[in-house]
Parts: sequence; C-alpha cells; structure tokens
Amino acid sequence: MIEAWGGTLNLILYLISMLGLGYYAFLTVLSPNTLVTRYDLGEKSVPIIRIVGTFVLPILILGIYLLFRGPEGAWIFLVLNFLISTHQVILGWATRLKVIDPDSRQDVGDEIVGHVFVIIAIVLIYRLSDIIYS
Amino acid sequence: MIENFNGIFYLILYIISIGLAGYYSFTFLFNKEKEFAKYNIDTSAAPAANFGIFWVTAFFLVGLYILFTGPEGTWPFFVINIIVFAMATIYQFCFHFNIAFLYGRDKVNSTIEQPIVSVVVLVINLIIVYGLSDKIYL
Repeated sequence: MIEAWGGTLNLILYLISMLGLGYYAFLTVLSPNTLVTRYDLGEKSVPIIRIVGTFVLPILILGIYLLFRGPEGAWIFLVLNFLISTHQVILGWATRLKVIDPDSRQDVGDEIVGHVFVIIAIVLIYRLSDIIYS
Repeated sequence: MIENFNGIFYLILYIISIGLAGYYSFTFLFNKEKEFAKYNIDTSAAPAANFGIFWVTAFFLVGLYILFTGPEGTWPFFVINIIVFAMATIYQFCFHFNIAFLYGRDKVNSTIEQPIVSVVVLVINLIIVYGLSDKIYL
C-alpha cells in the first residue's frame, strides 16, 4: 500500500484527508443536528444538509477504495477534492469578510480544517503527479 | 469532441448531465431566494445551501473540463456521480413520500421535481458509464 502511494508521507496525508472527510460524512448524513447547532441554522436546514451528505459520502467511499487500490490514474479524484476544499475556504473567507451571508455564524475549527484540506490536496497532487496522471 | 464521447448520443447525455449541475449551481449561488420559497425554507438555511452548492459547482467545473478534453481515464468522476445520484434518489424518494429522514419534514415543502431529477441524472450517468467504458477506464 505504501509503495502504491509513493511513500509513507503521501499515505499519511491521504489518510488524514479521508478521516476528515469521514468526519463530515458522519455529521452530514447521521448527525445534521450537530451542524444545525454549531452554525445556528434552522431546523429547515436539515434536508439541505442531508443532500450535502449525498455528495460527501460517495467521495469518501471512492476515497477508501483508492486507499487500498492505489491512486494510479485517479488525478480527477484529487483535483475534485482540491476544488471542493478551495471552495470551502473561499466560502469561509467570504463569510468572515461579510461578502456573503453576513449574519451567519462562523466556526474557526471548520475553517482551519478547510485550509488544511487545501494544503494536503496541493501537496498530494504535486507529490503523486507521476502516479495519478499515468 | 463528438469522437471523444463515442458519438453524438453520449455527448448530448453528458451535456444534459453537466447542464443540470450548472443550472443548480447557478440557481443556488445567485437566485437561492426563489428556490428557498419553493421549498418553504427560510434564510437560516443559506449557509448550508452555500456549503452544499460548492460541491455541485466543483463537479460542474471538472465536468466542463472533461467536456473539452475528453473522458479518458476519468472513471472516478463518473463513479462518484453514480453513487451521489443513487443516494440522492433514495433520500429524495423517502423524503418526498414521508418514508424516512422525516426530521424537519413537516416544516418544509417537497416537490416531485427533486426525486425525478435524481432518477433521470442517475439513469443518464449509468448510460454514459456503459457507453464510455472503453475510454473512462483507460
């Protein structure tokens, strides 16, 4: 497995990324009320949060599959993760700077996680470029 | 472009699939008040909707890239789409017909549009994966 991922560091970074994704999959699918409370959302947000879960969970499922199979040729998966994390960071900053939804509550922990995900995605795409684009 | 997608039929299906992602992406990013009114959702759900729609936007952008570069080796994109819409179909049908996922169900409206769109996009993606299997798994 380590060889398929081009070394231990890449594998650990990918595992961290998947664990984070698993955490959000759990929250969006099984515990949307946690997010409702954390962000001071209304109960009417629950259906939307569950729809978000239908996007998070498939990416986690495929991510776990790639963990065992190796990332060969899977550039689009890593690029998709990078784009999603980048959008999350942009959304976080836009909210913090009151560009959008100025009344919504922020969570510093989730924002830090977003930045970490972007950095991990960039590092993985760079370090695995000879494998994922093959 | 047509050759990349094994003919006009699969290209049109792919454009419909990406077009729907683009439509929902644009609508929820720039005209969410109208969509919220349709489902009787108030503005407290806006942050959740924004977070969700960025996933759709990411899919739309990657899909647009594939449209112009061709689908060779892009199986994860299509497989994720199939799992997403399989799950969305189950969720939307259960939610719309009051079978499961009922928390907050009494507070919002549900239209038949969402289950139907989920099924249609699922079928489209299954056909695309079948038709392009010689290219996407390269």
